[in-house]
Amino acid sequence: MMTSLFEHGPLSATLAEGNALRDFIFGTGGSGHHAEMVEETFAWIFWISAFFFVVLMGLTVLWSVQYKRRATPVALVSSSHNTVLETLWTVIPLGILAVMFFKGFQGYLDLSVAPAGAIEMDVRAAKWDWRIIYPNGAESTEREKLGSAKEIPIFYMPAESPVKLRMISSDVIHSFWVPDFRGKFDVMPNRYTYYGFTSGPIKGDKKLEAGPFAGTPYEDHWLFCAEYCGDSHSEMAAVVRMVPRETWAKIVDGWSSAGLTPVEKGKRLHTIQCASCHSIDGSKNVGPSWKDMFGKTETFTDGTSGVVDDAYVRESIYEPAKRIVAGFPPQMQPYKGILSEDDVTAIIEYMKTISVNHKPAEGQK
Amino acid sequence: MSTLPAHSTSSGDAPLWKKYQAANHYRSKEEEFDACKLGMWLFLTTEVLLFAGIFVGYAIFRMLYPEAWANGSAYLDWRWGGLNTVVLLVSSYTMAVSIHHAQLNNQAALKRNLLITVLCGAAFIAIKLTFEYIPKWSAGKAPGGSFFAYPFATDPHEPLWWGIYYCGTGIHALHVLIGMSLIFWVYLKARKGHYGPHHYTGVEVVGLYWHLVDLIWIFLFPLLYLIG
Amino acid sequence: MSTINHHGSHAVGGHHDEGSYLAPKGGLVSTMWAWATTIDHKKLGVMYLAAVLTLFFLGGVAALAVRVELFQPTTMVNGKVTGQVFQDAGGAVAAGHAIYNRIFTLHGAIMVFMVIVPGIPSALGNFLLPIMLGAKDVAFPRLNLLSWWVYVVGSVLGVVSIIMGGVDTGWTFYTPYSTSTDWDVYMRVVLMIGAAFVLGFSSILTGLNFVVTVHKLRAPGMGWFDMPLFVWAIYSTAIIQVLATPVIGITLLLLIFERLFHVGIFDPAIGGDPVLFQHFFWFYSHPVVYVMILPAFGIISELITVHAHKKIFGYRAMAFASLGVAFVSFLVWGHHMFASMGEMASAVFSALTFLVAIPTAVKVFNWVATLYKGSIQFTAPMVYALFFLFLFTIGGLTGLPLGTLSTDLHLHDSYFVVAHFHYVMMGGTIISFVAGIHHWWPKMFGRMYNERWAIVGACLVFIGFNLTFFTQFILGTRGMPRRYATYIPEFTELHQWSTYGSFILLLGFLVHLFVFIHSLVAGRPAPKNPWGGLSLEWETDSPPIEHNFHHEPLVKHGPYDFETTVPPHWDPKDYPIPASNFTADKH
Repeated sequence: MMTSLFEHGPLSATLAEGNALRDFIFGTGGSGHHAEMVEETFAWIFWISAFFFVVLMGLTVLWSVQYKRRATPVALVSSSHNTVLETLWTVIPLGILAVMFFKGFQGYLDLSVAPAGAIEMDVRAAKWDWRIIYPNGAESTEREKLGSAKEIPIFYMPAESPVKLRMISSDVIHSFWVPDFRGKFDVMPNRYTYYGFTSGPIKGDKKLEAGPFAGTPYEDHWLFCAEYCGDSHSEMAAVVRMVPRETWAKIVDGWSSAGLTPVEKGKRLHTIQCASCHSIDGSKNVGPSWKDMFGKTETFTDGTSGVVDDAYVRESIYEPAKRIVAGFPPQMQPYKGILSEDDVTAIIEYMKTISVNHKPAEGQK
Repeated sequence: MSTLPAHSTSSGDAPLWKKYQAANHYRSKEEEFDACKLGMWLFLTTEVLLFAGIFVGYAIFRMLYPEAWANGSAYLDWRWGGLNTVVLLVSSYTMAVSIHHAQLNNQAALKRNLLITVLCGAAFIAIKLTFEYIPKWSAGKAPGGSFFAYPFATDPHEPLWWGIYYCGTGIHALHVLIGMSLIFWVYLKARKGHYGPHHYTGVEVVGLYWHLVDLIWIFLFPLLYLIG
Repeated sequence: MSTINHHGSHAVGGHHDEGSYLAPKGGLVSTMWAWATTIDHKKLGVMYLAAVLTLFFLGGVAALAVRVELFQPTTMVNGKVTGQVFQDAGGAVAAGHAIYNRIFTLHGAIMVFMVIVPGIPSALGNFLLPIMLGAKDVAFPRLNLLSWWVYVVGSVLGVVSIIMGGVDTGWTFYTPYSTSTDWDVYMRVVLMIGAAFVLGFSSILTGLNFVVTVHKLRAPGMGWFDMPLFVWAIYSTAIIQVLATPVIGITLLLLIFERLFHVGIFDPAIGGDPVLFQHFFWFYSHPVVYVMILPAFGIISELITVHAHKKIFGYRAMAFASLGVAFVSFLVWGHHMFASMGEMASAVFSALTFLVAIPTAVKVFNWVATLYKGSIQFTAPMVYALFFLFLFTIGGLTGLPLGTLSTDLHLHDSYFVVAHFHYVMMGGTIISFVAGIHHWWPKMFGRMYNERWAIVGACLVFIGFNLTFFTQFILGTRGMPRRYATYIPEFTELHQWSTYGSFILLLGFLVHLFVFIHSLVAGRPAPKNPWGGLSLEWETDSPPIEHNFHHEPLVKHGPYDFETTVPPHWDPKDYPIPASNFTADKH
């Protein structure tokens, strides 16, 4: 971790914790060393800017009043050129800007160079969902609803730990932004980008309410997609939940998918991969809801119709554009290479359990 | 073609180039000539920058995928490219010569050289189509991943090579066609006697344009055909 | 300053009985035909003005639609969607967002490609540049007519694309999104990109024309440093237009090929590079930011000097700053990609970006210094010029945390950026455009406008603008990403203030519209030199005659020698120059 030359300068105190101006500008959620650094640099620039702004506007107002046109319109001669003055106001800002550049570069390295001993995680972005794959291969199974009822994942992160994210997109460019961390990096198709940070301590007094880890302190931060990526760009969000590192390790272990039944696995896959577009409570989203879908006869956009059976589900996962249910946009990406045949079977089995239209064969009840 | 229309040489009636007056917002013909040349040079700058985009793309992908570039280049026959280079160089020469003849008032030579230039341009396009585009296209070596397949490609990035090849040479060929049309238009005006020692702005600026078209090919040819 | 009076035998001035360029020729149809085929730079300027203002209105309506949608976040209450103004018939939230995405793209594309880029150079530049140089027309009048029609064709293509349903790529057309969206009706994406391509041609031809005009058609006796700063600004702008636009031309052309034939240059799936598109795009689009702002600088230099009757402070510094900005602007494109480039490239681009700040800061210092000991008259153009200083200073200073690498990684693609470029592009360019229209309105149309109501409009615009966009700085630092159709509830209050502001802004512009219409219908005839300006446009009639000047003008004073020159058409009794002004040391 780099220490800033300017960290203890006279201006660094101006945006200290609990400072009203800082809270006004950034809100109160800032988390981690990098966030402090960015806030401090921003404050430094802010005060320099404020100084120049006040001087310039002060003079503008003063002279506008003082030299308002009187009876005769002719202005008196005054110097229209002053080499010393003009040189000074070129050179002094140049010096200030040079310092500004170095402060900024230092902070940038802090973000792009991963801290030593970092926990490595994979970030996968696709329209319009985030996934984080933890070191043990597991993914978060917890979700919550945005205001518009779209489901977004909750990613658990260890507090006060170095983390390195290896990020890639499977379609267009996205951008990984946790505003409270005060930094972002683009997520590209066909190319890894990295984002390293040391997470901050847990602030506030929120405690997990239910489950095996009830009572554990946590703090939530938003994760947004910052690079425009289409229809649901504004809802490509997630919650980054900081918990103590030991608790985090236990939670992530619990998400490992070893030993699940196909239906359980299908339910988990739905949560991870499908929930952002397909609801299971009947509400209409980007794609049709899975509630009561299996076994139902649907009309497709090409005018034909057919029963949603095993074959149709498999086809829709691997070649979604072939037959789209009428009334929905052709938005889904093909999941060939992402979901295996086993995964597809698990999803089919899960869909059966949430559809009244599915009639189990005799004796299978 | 060299039989002249009577009015440009008939006595008593001065040829059009002698009667030429600068447009009313210029102070002199010289000023107008300078302005037109400056304008054309600026326009040529924009053309160079336009092609610069293609060259930058070429350089970046060549650096990333040298094998694809070597494979792609191997499909091209340098002899046809070389012939076309010669054709364009000849046309640049005849273009320069026609300006010279305009300045000397050799009307017949002026028209002859303009016509040769146009014909060279046509030859360039004909060679390009007959021996390069059409055979390649029918062999499936066409641009674009959505309409065409690349079963012959041994390197997965070869479609990019074809993308650059067709964009670069295609946009260049379009410029050749535009240049030919302009020179033909100048030729038609020359037939009416518009150009002579005191007024040859049209020949001059269209000539500048044609040299640039030639120059761009001089860069495209080695990049695409020679260095694999 | 030269005093050569040039009356060369071939340089005949206009005829004395020549009428105003606005005088109709025959009936309505023949007048319209005469306008449509005119090669008169003044008529072309007026037509550009009308077109740009119409498109500004269209883009403004889209902006209001954006603000209305953002008044509330989209929420689901009891299974019903609320807070979403633009809803899909089927009620799907995402499909509603898709409509919003089309609207903000429409706003961006219209405002950038059809309003701000061509606005000042094509409308005011066309009208004023030859007159300020003392010329009868631009160097290539027929080319000028061609650029106008190319501009019309480009704008029509864009509007057709909108009528067909619009595009949702954002005005930046980033790949691979722009090559993968809307495959069902891909032609409208091609049309919109084609529109931008065609508009680029218009821009190149106009810029080329202006460069040659400035080089070749200055009035006798007018040296480079006797030119008004507006001409310097337009000249610098034209150079950027000529040098940067071809690069966007090839980029958009490749993007069109990509959509039509899938050539793959920007397609990551077969090894193409989407970031290459961004490099190409910003290699043009960053310099083009200065195509948008440099002419505004020129206008402000004219307005402050004329309405303060004060010599510009640091003329040469101002002229060189324009050229310096034009030059450095070609080296900074990478600062749009700090979040996607490596460390080395980011560091270089960050450092270069700060270099642009210097000439820009020098300009602001010079404008403020020009006010010192002036004789300031608070006309609508001057009030606007002072508002410009306020807004542009904020816009410029908020560029600093965006050029600084670490803070940019937080602020990039957030509402902070949105607010920053609106302070520069709207608070800078649009404000000075409107100021310039007021300043030269008497010259263009021969009628005065209502000063009081124009100032009321200016104040409403100023208040509305700050309310709309200052709130967006705070939204950005607090974490609101740009191009969002909905947002988390914490941001609601600031978004609502912003929306209220946008309606005050609308009210302000409606007042201006009313002032303009009133002036055309019932304004009192304008004198030849209502403000006491010294540049050549104030020597001719209001409105000018067809060939601009009755005689080739006589350049006998600099454009800013207010302390020692009685303005043309002014009575020396009304402008009594104290003897001390002539003896005082001018430098």
